Amino acid sequence: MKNRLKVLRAERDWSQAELAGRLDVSRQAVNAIETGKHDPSLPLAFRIARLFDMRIEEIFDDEI
Amino acid sequence: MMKSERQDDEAPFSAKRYFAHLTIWSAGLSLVLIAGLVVMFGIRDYSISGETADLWLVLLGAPITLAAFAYLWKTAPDFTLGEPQTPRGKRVRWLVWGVVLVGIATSLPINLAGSDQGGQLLFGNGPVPSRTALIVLLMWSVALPILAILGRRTADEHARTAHDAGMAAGFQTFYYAAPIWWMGWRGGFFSQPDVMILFVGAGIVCSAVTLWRRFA
Repeated sequence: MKNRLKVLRAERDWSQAELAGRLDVSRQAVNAIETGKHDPSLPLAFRIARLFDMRIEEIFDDEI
Repeated sequence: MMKSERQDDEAPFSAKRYFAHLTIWSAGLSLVLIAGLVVMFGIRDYSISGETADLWLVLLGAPITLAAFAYLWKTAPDFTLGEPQTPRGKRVRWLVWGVVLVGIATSLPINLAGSDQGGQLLFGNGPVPSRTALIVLLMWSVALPILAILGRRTADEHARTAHDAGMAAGFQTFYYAAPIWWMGWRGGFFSQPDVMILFVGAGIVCSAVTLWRRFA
């Protein structure tokens, strides 16, 4: 699944480790989500959306 | 610091680079520890024999060993395994230390009991002294399950998914290999099945798949 996580993170000048800390996941998890190797669970997707103050479908896109 | 500068400075996390650093650093530490032992033996031998060769060994070896140790201290990896400095990340690191301690507590009595048998005691199927077996049984039946439960509760969903994939692959390995070996033995094609070989094989597959899913 494609997502805008890397762009959103870069806009806030956060490293992968910083984002991982804010989401309480590992740095590998952030890297895997950004590269599309891991699709986050619904609870984690909601945490990501809340963190960026956006809706889930504004961050994740399964149609691209 | 400007945003663009910071992004340029900050290299993205690379599992390959991290584990290469960890491996090379660990190998370097092993060499330094061995060098330290050689110097210690040199001091001991010099105090006994008073030979000049032992003194030279100490005079040359000690500063080189100390300098190498200082360099390793400065270049030590962060041991975070990619985990951020959060309460969960710290729990993960404590669990890693727990696994290391259980490994030492398990292997030490086996090695001490079988010091005259090489690797036969650990890798053979022969009898083991009751006291040694009891320590290992306690580790495997009490400490390891506790660590496994704590690890499962502490891991994030990415690590859990990777571990689940590894466990599935490991079990599939056992699921196919065990009956094939068993029937092959009954048909006279193979030697008698060895449950520990099946266990180790399944464990290797489980670990390889877990690491691949997590870090590749």
